[in-house]
Amino acid sequence: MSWLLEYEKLALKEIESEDGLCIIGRGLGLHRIVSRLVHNLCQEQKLVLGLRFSKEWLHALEQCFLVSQDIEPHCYPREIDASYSRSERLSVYNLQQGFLVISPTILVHDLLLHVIPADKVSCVVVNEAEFLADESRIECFIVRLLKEQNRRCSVKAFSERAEAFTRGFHLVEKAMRNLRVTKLYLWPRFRVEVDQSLQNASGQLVELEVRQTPKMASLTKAILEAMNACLNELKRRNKSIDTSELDMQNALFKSFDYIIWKQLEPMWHNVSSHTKQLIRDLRTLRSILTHSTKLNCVSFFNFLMAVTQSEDTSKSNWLMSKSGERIFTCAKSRIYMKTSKENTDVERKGKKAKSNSGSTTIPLDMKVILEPSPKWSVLDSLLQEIKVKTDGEQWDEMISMGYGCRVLVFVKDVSTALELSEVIKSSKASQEYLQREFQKLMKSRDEAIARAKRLLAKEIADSENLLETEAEVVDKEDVQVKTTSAADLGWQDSKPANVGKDSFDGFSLVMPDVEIATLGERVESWKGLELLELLKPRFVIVYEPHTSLIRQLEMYQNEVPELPLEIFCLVYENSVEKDKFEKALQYEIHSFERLIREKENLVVFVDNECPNTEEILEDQAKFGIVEASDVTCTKVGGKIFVDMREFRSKLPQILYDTGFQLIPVTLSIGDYILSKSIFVERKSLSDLTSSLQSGRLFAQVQQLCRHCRIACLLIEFPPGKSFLLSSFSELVKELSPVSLLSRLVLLTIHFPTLRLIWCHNEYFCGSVFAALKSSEPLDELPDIDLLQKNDSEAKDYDNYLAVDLLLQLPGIHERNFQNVLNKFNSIQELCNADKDVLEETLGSNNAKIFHDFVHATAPNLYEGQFK
Amino acid sequence: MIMEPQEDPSFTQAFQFLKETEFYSVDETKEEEHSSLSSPSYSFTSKGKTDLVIAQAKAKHFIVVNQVTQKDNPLNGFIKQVLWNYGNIVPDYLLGRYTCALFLRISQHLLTPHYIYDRVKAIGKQFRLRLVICLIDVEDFELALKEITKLCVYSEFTLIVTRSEREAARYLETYFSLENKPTDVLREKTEQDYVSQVENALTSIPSINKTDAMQLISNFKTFHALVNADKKELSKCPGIGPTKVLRFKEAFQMPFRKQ
Repeated sequence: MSWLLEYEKLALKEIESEDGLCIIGRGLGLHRIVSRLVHNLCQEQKLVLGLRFSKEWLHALEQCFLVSQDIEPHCYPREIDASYSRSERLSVYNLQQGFLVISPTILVHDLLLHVIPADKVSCVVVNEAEFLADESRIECFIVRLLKEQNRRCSVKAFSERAEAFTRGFHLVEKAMRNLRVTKLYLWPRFRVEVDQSLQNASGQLVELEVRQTPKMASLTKAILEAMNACLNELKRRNKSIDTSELDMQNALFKSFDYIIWKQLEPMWHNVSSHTKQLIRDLRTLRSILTHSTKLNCVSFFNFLMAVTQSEDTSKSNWLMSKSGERIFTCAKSRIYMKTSKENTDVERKGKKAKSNSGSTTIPLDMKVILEPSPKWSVLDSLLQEIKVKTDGEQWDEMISMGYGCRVLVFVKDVSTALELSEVIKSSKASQEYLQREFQKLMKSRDEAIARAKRLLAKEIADSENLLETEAEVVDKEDVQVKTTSAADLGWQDSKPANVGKDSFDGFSLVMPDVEIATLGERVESWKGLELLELLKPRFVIVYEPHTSLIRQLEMYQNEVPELPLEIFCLVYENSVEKDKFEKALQYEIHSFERLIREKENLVVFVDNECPNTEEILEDQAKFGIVEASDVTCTKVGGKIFVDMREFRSKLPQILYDTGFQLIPVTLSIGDYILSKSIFVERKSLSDLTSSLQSGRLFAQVQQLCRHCRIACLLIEFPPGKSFLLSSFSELVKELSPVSLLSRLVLLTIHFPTLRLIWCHNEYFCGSVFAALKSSEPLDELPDIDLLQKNDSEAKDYDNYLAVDLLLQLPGIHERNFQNVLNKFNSIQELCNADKDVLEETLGSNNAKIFHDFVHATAPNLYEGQFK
Repeated sequence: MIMEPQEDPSFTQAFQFLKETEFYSVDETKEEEHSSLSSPSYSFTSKGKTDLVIAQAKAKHFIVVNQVTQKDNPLNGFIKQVLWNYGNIVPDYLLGRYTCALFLRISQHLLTPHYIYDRVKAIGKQFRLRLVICLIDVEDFELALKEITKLCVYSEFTLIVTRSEREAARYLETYFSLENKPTDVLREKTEQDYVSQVENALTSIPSINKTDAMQLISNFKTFHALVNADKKELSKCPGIGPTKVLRFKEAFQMPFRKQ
């Protein structure tokens, strides 16, 4: 178990001594603090629950436990999912020790049915606490149930994303209330303690600004222009939204989607399709922008094609705009160029002439350029330099000092890692690599233009000689070297590293140990430090700017000051990449500043010593929080059967508040069973729209009406929204048979026995349920046939992801998917099945549809290109 | 001539529970007031039944509006897409042969809570589809709406709630014009082109968007190849990070039933 830096110890002590929410800067060792905390708790042989822990985390934690060896094996972290049966879970719970990460729905189930001995749970550790600011989250319900059943259970929450707490009003307060903690601990990078303990860094950080090629620059410019146009159009069309936050700076970030969604949400069902398209376009353009610097020219072009082919962009205006066109021209011009200056007609003729005359020496009208990424050459020269520095004996000396490897390169994703591993083989490798990629691209073109393809391939071969001479590396002058000490940088943005470590035997370059590590942005971003400790590199190259990584490097240097480190960070000069990185850092600083101010006058939740539920309710009634009539309803109580999946929404919590006893089950029909005759299907407004469109609701209602006496459809409007299904503009126009209103009307015409319940918030919903239920008690499940089974252990299927996907496949529908579940194990098995086997399971017609779908070849992305 | 509403014993039985709720209280004066208010069209008599047949015949061609209760309803002015006319009927609106509707403003309900119960009782199970169109015109509507919801559920009326008169009128128009339409629009569509089929399937996995779907299918060419792809191949696609790869694994290769 690694030792902690000064400030980490402080933070750990704080949270250990008193429950609280700890918000810490990106990459400042959250992972290590949590690991240590869990470790200490388990050492005391307590039962600890974990919420929102990923598999990787658990795995890393297990490693820690293995190393420390002072914990008994049965206390090791354990993930409990649907594969555990109820009795197995019971036996695990009865150990009353160890760290358990239970999947939320199972945990709710067990808490509601008192399977888990809540009084034995000594602590809950919540990771990613920013999600608990939203009280409809299932985790909030869990914390609440736990606290109710065991008041002494402590709650320790952690978050690494300060920004997430500043995207709304009083989110920290809300999160703390939901977590039932009273203390807020903030650990930004600029906190004095943090700064002090990070001052021992002995190495240096060199930021290399790489100049983009003119083509890349104009590509970026074109994308930004297109985004700007979309943004302006969006503002023009939606006069009601507050435009102060909607500027280009924000549009570069993912949080922009959230800002705009937050503004449009109250009228989302009324927002015109054009506006929605614009929002989608902005998202698409943003990802194009990110990829424009990240991918090499060929894969970027590939990506662009995929974007244009997807339905997301089928109605996009930017594709047709001037800047849109420029995006494509620029992307193409990085791959090939037409040398003749005549118009396209002439060119085409030229091509034809060529194909007719075979390989005669007609001047090529197309020149393959294949522009290498500027970072490649910089990386190459860096490696050369390092090689010179650490030649022979010098290196032996270094090894004796304790270095593990020479160079560690950090990239953000696997595809880049694979690409780099090819590229750094030799100085020529980059061109070869691009050539190969290009060949692949050419190969993938349609049969229809096969002729042109052959021609082009020949051209490539012809021009290869040319290329070799032309492939000039970016001038050394283009690389400006700035030396800054790492401590000066208040960087913040980053993502994690995980996957491949490949070492290479160099060709022209003898580089025995270049390690390439992938560190993603969101997932596992904490792995950087681990990797550094493991490999102990002499040089680190940060291929793409990455906040959390920079901080982890800083921490590493402070931990091992005797092994000075040289860090090179490659950034494109004046690029969006750099912009985004710096903006994100600033954003984090601002967020922390805001949180610090908020902390000054924080309204905290205080857990009174003796509140029993009824007293609270009376209090609430006194202050008019709950209407008086609801209090009477609460006393009625009674059982309600709730589908397990419903626990993702807020309603079960409200029903629980209202005094009902919730019994989690897996229902095949409906979401709630109120009484023997009343079944309720809940649909939020957006759900209603989509399921009416897809036809899912029709099937559901059909089932519902067949199987119960009173079938209810609960339409849930977003909180604070009116009971309106159509926008004003729709009402002025003529009747449309496909509008939401018409579809709902048609549904009720065909199912006259379907009852509608209209709710504007969950509280109202709860009181309606109470009113409906008061006359009919429910003690047992009405009809066992209708329910899959009463417990999750006996559930029909548990891989929802797979079953949801299965139902979307052509040829498979609600009537035959049960057969599939019985016959096949997984989707893979189903897809690999023979036609005969399929026919047995699906029937001949469906089998044919399905088989054809699985084996059909995707239409080519490049249709219409290269003509 | 004023007819007294005749109570069918089965109705009394069916609505017995209503009398037991907190909302029900017997108020003699109001009761009288109501029955005097209620004109011939308020309940069924032999004459009423003839009227009904006539009205149903009319309702094939236009919306029949109750000439007594809805005479001055500004709502009528918003019915523009279809024809309407006054007639002597029991419900407030007759929207075709088998569909009838009662119209209720919450403000009106708050003043005369009995009104809707009487009207619902008068219609009984007379039509195949019975609607209560409830217009919310006050802010303090929750108790009233709860009560109406309960009434509708137990007396087998379909409740429609809206906030604008314009939309209420739109409901009337739509019910009238869709009465005999088939359910095609509501059913699942089976014919789709390949691209959207693939997109639909793949985007059912959380965090996979349409661009990712295209990227994947164009990389692997067939769905078959995609399903059988391994982690490394998947993560080669731009935009497919470790989380998405894991999700794919779970959806494609993990068993439907664990164990």
